[in-house]
Amino acid sequence: MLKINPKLVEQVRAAQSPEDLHQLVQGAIELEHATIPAYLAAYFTLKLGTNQPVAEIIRSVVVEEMLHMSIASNLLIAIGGRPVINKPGFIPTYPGPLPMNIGGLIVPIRKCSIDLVQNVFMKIEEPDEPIPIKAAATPAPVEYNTIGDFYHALELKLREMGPKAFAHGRFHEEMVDNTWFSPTELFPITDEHTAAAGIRLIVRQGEGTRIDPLDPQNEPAHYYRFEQIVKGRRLIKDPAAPSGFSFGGAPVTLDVTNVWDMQPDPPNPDTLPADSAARRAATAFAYGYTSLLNALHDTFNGAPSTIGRAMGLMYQLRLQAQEVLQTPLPDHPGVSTGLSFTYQPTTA
Amino acid sequence: MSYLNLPRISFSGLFEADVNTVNNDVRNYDATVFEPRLQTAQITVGDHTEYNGWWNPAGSNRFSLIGCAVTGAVGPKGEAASGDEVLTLRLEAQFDRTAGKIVDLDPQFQFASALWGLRIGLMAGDKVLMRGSFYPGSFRDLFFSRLFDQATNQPVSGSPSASARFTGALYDIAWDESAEASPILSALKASAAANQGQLMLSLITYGYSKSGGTQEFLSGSVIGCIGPWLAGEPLSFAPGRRFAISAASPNAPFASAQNIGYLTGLVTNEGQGLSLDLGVALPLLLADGPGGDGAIHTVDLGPITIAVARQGDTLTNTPTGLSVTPGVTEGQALTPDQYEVISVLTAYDMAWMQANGGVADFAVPAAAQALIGDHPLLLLTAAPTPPGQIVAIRETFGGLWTRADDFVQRLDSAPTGWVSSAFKVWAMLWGQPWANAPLTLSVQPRATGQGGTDDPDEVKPPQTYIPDNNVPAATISLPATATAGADGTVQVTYWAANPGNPRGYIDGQIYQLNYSPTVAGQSPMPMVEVVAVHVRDAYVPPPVPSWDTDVKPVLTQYGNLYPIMSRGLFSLSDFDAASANARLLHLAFTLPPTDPNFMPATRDISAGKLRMIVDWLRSYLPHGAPSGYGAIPPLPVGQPLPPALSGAAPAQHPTQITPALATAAVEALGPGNDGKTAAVRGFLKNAARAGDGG
Repeated sequence: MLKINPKLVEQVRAAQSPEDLHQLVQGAIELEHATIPAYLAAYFTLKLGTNQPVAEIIRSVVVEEMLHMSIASNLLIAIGGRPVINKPGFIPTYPGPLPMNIGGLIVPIRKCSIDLVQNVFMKIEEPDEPIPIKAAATPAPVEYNTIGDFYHALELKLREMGPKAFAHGRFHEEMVDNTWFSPTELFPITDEHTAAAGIRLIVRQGEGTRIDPLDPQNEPAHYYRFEQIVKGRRLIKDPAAPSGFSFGGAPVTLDVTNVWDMQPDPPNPDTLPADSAARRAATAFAYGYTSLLNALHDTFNGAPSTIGRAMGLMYQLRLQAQEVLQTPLPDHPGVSTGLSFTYQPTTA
Repeated sequence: MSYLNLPRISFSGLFEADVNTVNNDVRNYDATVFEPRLQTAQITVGDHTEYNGWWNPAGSNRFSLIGCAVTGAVGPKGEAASGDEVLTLRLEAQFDRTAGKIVDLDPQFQFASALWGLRIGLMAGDKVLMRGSFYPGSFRDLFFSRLFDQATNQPVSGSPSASARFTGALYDIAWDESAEASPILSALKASAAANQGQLMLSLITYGYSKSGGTQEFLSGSVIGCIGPWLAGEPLSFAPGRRFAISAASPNAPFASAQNIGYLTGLVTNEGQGLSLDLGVALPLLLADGPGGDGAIHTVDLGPITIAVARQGDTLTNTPTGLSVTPGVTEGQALTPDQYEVISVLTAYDMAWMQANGGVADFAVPAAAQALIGDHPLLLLTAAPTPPGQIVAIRETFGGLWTRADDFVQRLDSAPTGWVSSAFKVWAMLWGQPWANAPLTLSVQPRATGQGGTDDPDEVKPPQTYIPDNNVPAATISLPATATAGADGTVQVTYWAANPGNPRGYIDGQIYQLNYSPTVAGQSPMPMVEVVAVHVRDAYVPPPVPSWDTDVKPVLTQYGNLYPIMSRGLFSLSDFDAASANARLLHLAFTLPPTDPNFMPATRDISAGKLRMIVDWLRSYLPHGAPSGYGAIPPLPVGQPLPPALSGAAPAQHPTQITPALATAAVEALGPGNDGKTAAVRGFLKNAARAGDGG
């Protein structure tokens, strides 16, 4: 599970006013965002038209992380804060730890592999107590806080504060465009009840519950969704299994021959040879990604309809990713130029 | 005014145009004969070419600026802007939206590629000091054979030899408070505030590369300016004093004998100043020969004298109408007593062009001031026998210039009756409004063979026909003449009825509307100085659209033409993929065309077909459909044709491109073949036919 600095949970508990929570919720936005580049990079390295089940699993998690980032941003707006999404520090350094995290988990930008899914993605999404599904799991010690604890504390604090937490909310600035997410997932956060519903959705979609690996949409929580890739089979309900579930469904096979051999942990594009096609493509990709953050910043800072523009950039990013991956890394035969998720406000 | 006025900033850098080439060939629109190979790149078969999807079938139509920076600035009074922060700024595009798109009007009219959805910004670090959206301007002053190859001493092959200008107003401008620290930006801001919030952008491209496998592939260089736009002025060009080539030029219809292209100047400050835009006019050289540095340079023509002729032109009213006779002509040797010098340009290398965006400002000496109001401007180069000079290019005969502003049009026809649209023509006389200017208007006669390869030896051509254009003539109507008002402008209204799918496999028809001053002996206009209209077929959306009969045929054609969709995202012709991506498609199809995410990128679909697709998509939106049709226009309603136009045969008037000129120009284009080159050849041949009486 994602271990969180206990001080952060304490700060949530100690908050006296909604303003005291602003930086903490901003941290949650940053955390929800921080997994997206790692997941997206893995997803983009699956060659189009191949690895469909794996691609769909990762893509579905990415989409939900975007939802969670949106919910956290709406929450910050609802308690009077202003999400900051367009600054260099918003993007973590890869490889590196996730925001708020103290557990020593290092998140890289790598091509898709079983190792990556098992040792990074599942670690990110690990519940407090994973349900043993046809496998024994060691109960985790509890000498730190988890992201679940953080969100739980936040929910309790908002309930405790009640309406005063939302006295300065700019609810009309929230992004609740149900084109992309259903009204049961993305809804206006205007009080402690809707805030709690949003927070719980984040936790349940990410971790599931202690007894049910499925989220409210009846999809496996992220941890189990990824585990399907490692186990090579879909998670299905299985009355015969002790947990009621087993990885006995349709095959989920990662065909490694149809994965772009991407340069691991791509450095900033400006370290690539000047005037090389690799540098140009990598720079354009990072510029596109930065443009996406700019669009999201506008979306959550008074112009919620900008989400359409952000979605356009998401699709463009996918096209750009393929251009980058089709570009050989200079002096590394057979290796693709890497997808650089870096802050890149310039085109050269 | 316009960007030729002050204050003005200039910039240079690179651009990338990831143009799609499958749609360079109109035959690829015919889904009944489409084959997968037509989505692959062209190949050489022996001595011949199998064009398939031409040279960049995976193009996304993306247009990007790369590494552009402000290179110069001139203050409102002509003062150099040393030390102004504006000189440290970068020019970036988009940065919070998808890339702008570069698209043609139609495969059968490829001379007006437009930039859609381009939003530029002047940036310091990650702070945007000014941003503005580019009016979706199409390029003009297309100058083929501008770039010479030092190694071969011939123009560079194909469209990389060409240069073009995109000019357009900047609207929806936003300023950061910190822009106030720059006197130049403050002055531009004040200009915008006084002129409906708008400025003007001039952007010139050259040195485009379509050499696959190189790092330059799909990119080229750009120079340009941002300056004022004056309320009431054209949105797509700078009015002023026009230089034109001679019909007798061996480089016609693109350039003068000295290989200088069309250019525009502006006399300012009551004759005391002259600003000239040489950005798309001076010839260029690719220094790839022995000792060359491989870079692109301006051709050294020696000192260029900017002058005004002492001998005026004569505009006379004859029994058959107005006629103009020039006092001096291109190529003529002049002695110093025949002109007054304004300035001599000696250092005009590429660094100079990059620093000023091609625009140079001159003080006009007193002697020249006395003439400049109604005598032709000249560019002179050294004559073989000094001290005389040769007229390298001169202002249009009589200082006459007419130009349409909104010259690329898209018009939905109605099932019955007629619909109208209009374009505004500006008539200028020595740069001033030409009150009561007489204009002749016409519809171009039937054109054939446009939008194919123009290569008789092509291997495995698509097995379909190339539709004719400008027909039926009976469904388009415009007056044969028009007269400018006191302000020198006239709004020309034309009408179109349902063309009835004359092209078969591709929607609607392309009509070319010609306009010119009703003056004998006038200077030639640039090759494509016309109004191009895509009249779409009338289309009534069915109450309940069906995938198989309604939606699939339209989306399949786009899917065929844009392999990038199925290769990079999803297949448009696949029901499961289209319905699964209904949300994205719904968003893209309901945006205004000025949005870079608008689909289809070519912006060539009628409102009726868009509504049909959106109606179908509604069923597949998982969380419900928004009401309405977003930015899709209403369906057109037909009206009776005005009585004055009813029954009149469409007017015709000969173009100024003679068969001999067209033949020479086709020859000058060299052996290279690509969409633009083939299109230019086709255009010239048709123009020659029309000029030859059909």
